Amino acid sequence: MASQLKVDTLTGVTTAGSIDVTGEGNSTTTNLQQGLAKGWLKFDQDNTTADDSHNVSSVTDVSTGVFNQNHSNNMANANYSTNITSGFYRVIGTNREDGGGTGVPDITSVAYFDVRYNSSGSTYTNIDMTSNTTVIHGDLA
Amino acid sequence: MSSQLNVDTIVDKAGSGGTNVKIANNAVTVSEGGNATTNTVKGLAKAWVHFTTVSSTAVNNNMSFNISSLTDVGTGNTTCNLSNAFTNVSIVAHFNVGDGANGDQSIVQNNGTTSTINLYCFNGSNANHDSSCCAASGFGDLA
Repeated sequence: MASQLKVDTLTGVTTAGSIDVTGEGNSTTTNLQQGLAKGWLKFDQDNTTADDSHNVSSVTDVSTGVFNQNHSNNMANANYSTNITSGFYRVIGTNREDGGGTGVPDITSVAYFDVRYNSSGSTYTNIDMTSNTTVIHGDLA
Repeated sequence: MSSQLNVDTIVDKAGSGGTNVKIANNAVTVSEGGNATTNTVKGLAKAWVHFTTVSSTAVNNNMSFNISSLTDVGTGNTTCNLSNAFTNVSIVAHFNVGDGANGDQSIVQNNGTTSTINLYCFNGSNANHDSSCCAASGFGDLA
């Protein structure tokens, strides 16, 4: 018979912020906290609208092609993993405007990180993308 | 009244693994630093896939999650069809290609649907390009 446990907060016994989960192959465990994405965002910089997000308090439109993603809960340190992808492209002259490989974290701190997009091709001009997606992994404070 | 469960390892009822464990969508997990909590379900990847588009479009070594099928739209263009749909079209999708020797670049384009993600791969000359090592993931809220 299936069982159901109702609980609001999962806390480790040995260490509050460390719970192991048995892996799919049943031979190893993986850390629950470490495996969770600590924030994600879908952001339209052209219209400065956040379509959906998790652990994002606000997005600051810094300048053309550059925005800050500000965290609701800070990270433990600035050395966290960021994954940034553009969801839009168009070809203008010899340049293709997209974020594939050119959406990069310029500045990373515990409270926010900068994202910069520029066009591919020969000019590498900063551009506002209509669809930017970010995911961060690492330790929360 | 809120409740708190202190536990080191989560497994299923039989004790053999975690495949039957269900976590409610409002459950939170204490952070690594112990000073905050984070929503457990929101932090989970809702879909991922490793695939090739060379010769034919196919998942590599059964490495996929929540992917019902892949559609070969054209050269360098693949649609991921999701088994379980998202709640809205704002899927936080990521796509990377691995054989960078060709200067490959990857782009995600949401189709405006909750159940598909459209992916493009280009080479360094901005031409659509098939790649042997494509990896994509999706975050957001499932329906």
